[in-house]
Amino acid sequence: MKKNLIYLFIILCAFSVETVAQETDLESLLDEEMGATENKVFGTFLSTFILNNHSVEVLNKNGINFRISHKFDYLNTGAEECFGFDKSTVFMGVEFAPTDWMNIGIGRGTFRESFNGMMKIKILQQTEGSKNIPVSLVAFGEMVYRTNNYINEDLQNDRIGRLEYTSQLLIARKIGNLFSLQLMPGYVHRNLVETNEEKNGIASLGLGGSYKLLKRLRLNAEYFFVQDHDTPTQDYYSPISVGMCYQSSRHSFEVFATNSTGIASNNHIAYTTGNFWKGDICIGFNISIIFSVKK
Amino acid sequence: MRTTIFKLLGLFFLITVISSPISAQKYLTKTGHAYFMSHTDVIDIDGNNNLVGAVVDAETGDIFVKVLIKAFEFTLATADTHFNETYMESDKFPSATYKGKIPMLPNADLSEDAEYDVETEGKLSIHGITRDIKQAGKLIVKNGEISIKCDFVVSIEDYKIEVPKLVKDRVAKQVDVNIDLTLLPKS
Repeated sequence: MKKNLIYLFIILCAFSVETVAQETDLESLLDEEMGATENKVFGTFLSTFILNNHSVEVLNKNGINFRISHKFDYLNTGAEECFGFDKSTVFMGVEFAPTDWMNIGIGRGTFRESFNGMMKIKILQQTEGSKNIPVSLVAFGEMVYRTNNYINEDLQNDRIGRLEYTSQLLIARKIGNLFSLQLMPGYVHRNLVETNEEKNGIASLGLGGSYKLLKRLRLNAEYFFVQDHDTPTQDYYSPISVGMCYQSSRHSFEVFATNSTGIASNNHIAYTTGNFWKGDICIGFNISIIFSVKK
Repeated sequence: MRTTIFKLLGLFFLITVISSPISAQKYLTKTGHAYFMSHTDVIDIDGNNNLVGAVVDAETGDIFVKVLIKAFEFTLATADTHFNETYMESDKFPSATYKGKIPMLPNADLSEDAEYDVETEGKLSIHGITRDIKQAGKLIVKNGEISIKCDFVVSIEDYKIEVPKLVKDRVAKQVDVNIDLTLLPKS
């Protein structure tokens, strides 16, 4: 009798083991079959700009970005200048994405009366999982044509001299869920500079970061190491900026404090005449309106 | 002595026969199709996913479906970033799953081409929230393959998917979802 009961018990155990194995079987079978997947990392930055400089984000195909940037004058100009409110530099531009990996844009800024054309090409997108690409990589190029008047009348017709070029490599990595870092080595070339001593080419290395505060709100900052201009008449400083970036479904806004009053790449990197640490700080904001061209 | 040996052998056979799965025929796909449409008066937003994984056990009628959120593709610019970062939070919840049963499947003759209207009951997990659902669909058997088609509506509030007030009228409260899977027998 006892023996029979033992046999029955063993048989029942065998049954129950089998049914449990079946339930988790399906889920783990599918996981095994699907394998590790390739995961693109989204949202390295909330907009195509960090604050002063472009970020590795590009618009998707058929996207259009209409952008307005505005920077007031330095706060330390005092009450007489209404703390910088009375004077400002403005920029308006539009960018278009003919493909998923390329953005082209044109714009106009009041700082040094600059027209600009730019191109941004996405070379790599940070990916995790079965395909590991540790960083997002974007090649950036901008050409500026200045229309401001020269003091020296003879130079007025020198069109080539009015051209300035910026090239940058934007290398960024989203670290975890909260933090993104961007490294941006770059080179600004001015065809015509003010003095003989001044260098035409200025190398720069920018460091940008983004910290997630809320789902749609980030704290952003930038710092640029800029090569010495060797200008005897004017001191140029490292552009530094700190601010917030907010994203809604169709817009992104950046509000920030910076010592750089220029907006186009060459202007904000190589023409920063304010010293951040001495309080030459102005308030700036960018508004981007993004929509799609429907086909 | 002999009887004891026979008993033990008999028991041994019984256990091995019972514990080995009764040739459970499984059907699998890694390229199933999921489509959703959020329709409002202001804008239509839709997403396409061609990497849906699903496995079905023909003997028990169990079905498991896994939809990778990052695999959705959109025609609307920046929609993929918004979808993943702010609505679905796909870093936290990388996939949506359905674990259920199709009760009539074990009764279906899978060697014959046929179309069946079926019901499924189970648990749907989206954005970290799991809900019991019951849904009707179509099961088509053709050339030894099983196709499962299902149209249903997801109330995004039910899965704690938050829509900011500013864009309230751009995202539908009820999103139409369409699942189309063709599963092949797994050898």
